Amino acid sequence: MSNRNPYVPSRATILEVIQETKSDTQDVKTFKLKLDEPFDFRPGQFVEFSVAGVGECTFGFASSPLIKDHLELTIKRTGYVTDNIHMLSEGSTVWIRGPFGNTFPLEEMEGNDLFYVTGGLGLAPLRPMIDYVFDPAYRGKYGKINMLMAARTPGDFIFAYDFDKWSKMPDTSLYQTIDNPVEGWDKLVGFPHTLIDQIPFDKEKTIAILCGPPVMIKALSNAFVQFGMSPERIYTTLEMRMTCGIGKCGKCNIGHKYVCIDGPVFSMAELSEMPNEY
Amino acid sequence: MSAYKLTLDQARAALAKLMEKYTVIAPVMNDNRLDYAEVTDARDVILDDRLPYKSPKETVFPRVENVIRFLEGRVEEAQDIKPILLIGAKPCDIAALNDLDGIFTSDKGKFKDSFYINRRNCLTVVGAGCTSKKTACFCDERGIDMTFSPECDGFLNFVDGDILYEPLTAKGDGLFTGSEAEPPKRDTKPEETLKIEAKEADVFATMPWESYVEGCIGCGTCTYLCPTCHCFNLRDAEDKGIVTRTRVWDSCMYPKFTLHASGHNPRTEKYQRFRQRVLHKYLYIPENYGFTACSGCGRCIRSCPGGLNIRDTVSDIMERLEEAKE
Repeated sequence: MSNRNPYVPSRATILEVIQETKSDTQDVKTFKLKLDEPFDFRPGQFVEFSVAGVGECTFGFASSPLIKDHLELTIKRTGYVTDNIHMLSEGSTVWIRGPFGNTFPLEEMEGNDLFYVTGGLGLAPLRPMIDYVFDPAYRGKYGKINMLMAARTPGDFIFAYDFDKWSKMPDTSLYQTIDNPVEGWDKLVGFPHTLIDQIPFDKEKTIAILCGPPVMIKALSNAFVQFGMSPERIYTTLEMRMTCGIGKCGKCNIGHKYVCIDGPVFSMAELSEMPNEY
Repeated sequence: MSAYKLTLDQARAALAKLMEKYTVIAPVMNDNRLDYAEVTDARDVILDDRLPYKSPKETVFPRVENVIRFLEGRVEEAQDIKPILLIGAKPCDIAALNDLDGIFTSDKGKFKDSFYINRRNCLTVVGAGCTSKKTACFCDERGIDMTFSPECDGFLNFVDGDILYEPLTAKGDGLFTGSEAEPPKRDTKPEETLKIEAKEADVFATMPWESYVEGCIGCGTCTYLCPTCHCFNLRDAEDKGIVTRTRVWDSCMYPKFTLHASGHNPRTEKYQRFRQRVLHKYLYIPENYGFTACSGCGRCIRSCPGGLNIRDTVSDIMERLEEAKE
């Protein structure tokens, strides 16, 4: 779409709205969308999504790039635009432009073990990669897969309906953790960076992919590095306030790097060269 | 190309003709203040040494601009663009327009800015020089010749009370004509001495940023008056059932500029925001595009209620970098 005006969105229709979280503190929904003008994307990329008259916001893709007839965005209700998005129902018209940003280096990662660590909504932008790698056409290209998913409470996990399917995938271990103990919870408790030493993985063969709040990403990457992993083998996808998605509006830079065009996917080796302003 | 000599009256008569074809923007008095504004009478145009209060960036990047209209089930581009003739642009402001061109028409990041390009294609720029440095001007340190800029469509020189018009591009050819004359001799361009040549790590955390911003009240005036500041937001407005998406100026000097949806904010402090403003122009744009995006017009210094001074800040950084080398 390079000849096209990158600010002009195309129309999409909401096919289905899925309520993800069940707690009172977090409200996350997944919106299944049908596009008038479908486009291809790669895991890691994002879109600008808008409701006419309300405004536009940035969201990572939350569904597999191999699905061609619809796409999904997982959205937390947290401000004016997302309040309004959450009020939409099946059949509503919305607007979308993209895809923007770089991608996870999936080909470079072939032959390695993968360790996904996510906090809350941070699972959403990794789902395109997770589902892509789990596809039978690609699964053989990657080694063992560890997944450590964190949420505040048991009711705050998104895509919980996929966990059973994911945990049964070949050579895959799925772990869940919550912030504080809750009666009846028999899985892990505590922040992810305090738990990685309890999970067996080969630090020489593994590539870690992290997504969550900035504090979590910083603590986790420190923990992985202390554990002996090379920063080149740790990847994250960053969130930043942005408007244009094409490197013009001046908001999402970290030093001279723009999260919208140089990112959102960065390795910790790249991030360590950048100012600590994210 | 050669130059054309004409009297001030002849130039005004030519301008009156041009006003039939173009929206003419030029320095005119506006509430006792000299501004680049739309000319309604060619006699109002003031071409002297004074620098207009605001920059002419609104000709290509309006403060608020309708860009997209949402109609029944479809969208259309909503820009309202007329051919603009900018007369009397100062060399600093021409340099700044070139900086904006470099950023918005670059396809770094795969995309050019269509809305900017649409406007820029409809803009013709005729420059006029300065004869003296004003308070807070530092275009010379930024390598800009205050008397002349070749980076526009034509240039108005003042020679012995007459005007010598020098067309510089096809767009500028024929705007003003008169008896043919030799273009005036040019001084050599001053050397660009005010610039930061360092790694991010050597500047970002090591400079006394807090000391530079003691007076800042966070008003954002610097960013609105700056001819190269170009940060923006997209906002929707609804009128009589029709939704229009507008592009509006934003400012990195406001704390909400970087506020995440989660409440996290990478720039909560004033010094962090001023650091962004200085380094965006003097370090990040040079790294990404190969030029420093400050024309030394001094507007941000002249109008800052808190006395912040980007020139002195950069100069201090340069001294500290020099000391660190020794």
